[in-house]
Amino acid sequence: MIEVRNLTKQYGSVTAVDDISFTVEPGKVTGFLGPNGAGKSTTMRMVLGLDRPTAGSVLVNSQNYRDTAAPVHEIGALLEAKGFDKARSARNHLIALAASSGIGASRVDEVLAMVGLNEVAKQKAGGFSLGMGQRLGIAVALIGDPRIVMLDEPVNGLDPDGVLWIRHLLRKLADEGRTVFLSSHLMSEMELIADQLIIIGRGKILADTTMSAFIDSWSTNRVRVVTPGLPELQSLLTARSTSIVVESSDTFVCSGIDAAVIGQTAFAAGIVLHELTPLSVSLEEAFMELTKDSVQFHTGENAA
Amino acid sequence: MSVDVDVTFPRIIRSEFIKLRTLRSTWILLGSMLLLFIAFGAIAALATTGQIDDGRGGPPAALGLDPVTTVLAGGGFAVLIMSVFGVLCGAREYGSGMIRTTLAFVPKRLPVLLAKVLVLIGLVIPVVILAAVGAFFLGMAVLSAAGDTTTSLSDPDAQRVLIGTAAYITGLSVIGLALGMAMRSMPGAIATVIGGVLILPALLTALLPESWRSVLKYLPSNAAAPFTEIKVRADMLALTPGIIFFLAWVVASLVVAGILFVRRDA
Repeated sequence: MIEVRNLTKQYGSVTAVDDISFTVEPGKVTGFLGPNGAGKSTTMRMVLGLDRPTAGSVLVNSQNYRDTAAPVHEIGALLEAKGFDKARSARNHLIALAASSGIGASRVDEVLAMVGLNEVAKQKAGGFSLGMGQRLGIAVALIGDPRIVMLDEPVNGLDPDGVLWIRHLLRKLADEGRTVFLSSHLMSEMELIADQLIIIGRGKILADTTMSAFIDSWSTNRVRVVTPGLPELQSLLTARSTSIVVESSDTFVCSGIDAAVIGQTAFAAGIVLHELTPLSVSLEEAFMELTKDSVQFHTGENAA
Repeated sequence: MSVDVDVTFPRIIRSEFIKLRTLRSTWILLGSMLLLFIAFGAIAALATTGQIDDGRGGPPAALGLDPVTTVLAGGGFAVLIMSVFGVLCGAREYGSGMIRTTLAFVPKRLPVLLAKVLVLIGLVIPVVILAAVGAFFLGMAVLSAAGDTTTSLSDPDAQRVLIGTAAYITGLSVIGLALGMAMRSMPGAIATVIGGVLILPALLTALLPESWRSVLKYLPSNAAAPFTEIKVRADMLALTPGIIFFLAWVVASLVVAGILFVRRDA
């Protein structure tokens, strides 16, 4: 379990992470989604104690990571694809790191086989493709049989085969009761892997919800209603809707109810409707919508 | 996992040793230091005895030097190579991003720094002693064969200079490591250690007014003079203060590196 409490990180005048709090729970895959520069990597570095928080705290399995006796058994992390020395072989890289926790060569060979690098294990890691580098990073993350697996953009550079492999791997790790926390800037990826979704933009948490609740609230059955009798209709629908968002004095968006039911309800109560529009949004669009104010680098087209 | 995977200091040392052992540059640097130290001692001895002609037909080039100074002529190369080796041990992981992987495995930072220092010292000391003693015996054999004056290893001054030179080179490699960790850049740290140790004293000697020159003896290379040079020089510190000031430089560089390492984001 990872508990992030009021975490803030400032680099000079730039606030990379702005007073965020969330909990990553064991037994499921938690996706950490946000545009580039949203603060995902900074947050993950603070979880590992690599960066010192400006304020707030992180607990890793209820402890400060630096105070854990067996860090490799608490968290296995992949933070950057090239976090190794180019001149060292993949196997020696793992052997050197594993030695700091008393883990021997047989476990090293085991994880190398697990990530499919056993045949190139004695080659210099500097010659690896991005995908092979990611696999080496995942081997590093798994070597200590960690209770938490934390991966920053793990599918970057992986071929479709590798993407499928990592999806199965993460699911298996979560099913074993481990905490699985991974970041991505791609909603499409999260949709396929994550049970829980934490969306971050400009250092702030924009959503922290289960994947299914997120899908429910954003996909097909969202309906925009424009009516002069907003308060009455809202009270009639509240009991049956998962969420009602009032946008102006006569407009609200509700989810969880079909447009037909809303029309029927309004008609029965004698409420005039000016507009009744089913809104259909893809998850990718929902993500864009949520983070549109927090994307750092707009392209000209989107900036308008 | 029921097996013990706690991080312990001996395990960190082992990890740091494996890191160095598995880089070819480690063996290239240690090997070339050994080779150059011994080879240049022999060449200097040959030159002194006139067995190597300097091509100008004059008297032997190194004439007049003390035998110990002659046979340890390769020490300058060893100083350079081991300073660079130290810098490499400190800065290399910053070049690759490996340092963050290391700290994910060992989140407490001071033990990492300490382990790096101990592994460096453990590698440098035996090789530099081997190199110095090798240069001593080979060089003295060359001098003796030519009938020149030699110094025996039982001579207290020879022992002082041999041990002192080995300690000086080891100490500089540690300063190199500290600078590498503090500056996180190999070129910068190499320039600083070489500039500070080899160029700065000469530069300041030329630039400082006469009355200020007394501070020069506290610079690392000059503080080491009483235990690396056979003749005791009047303008340098005595042996004990020399040892203390040189050690102080080593310790101070490590303290600065340690404070920065612990406080800064990795």
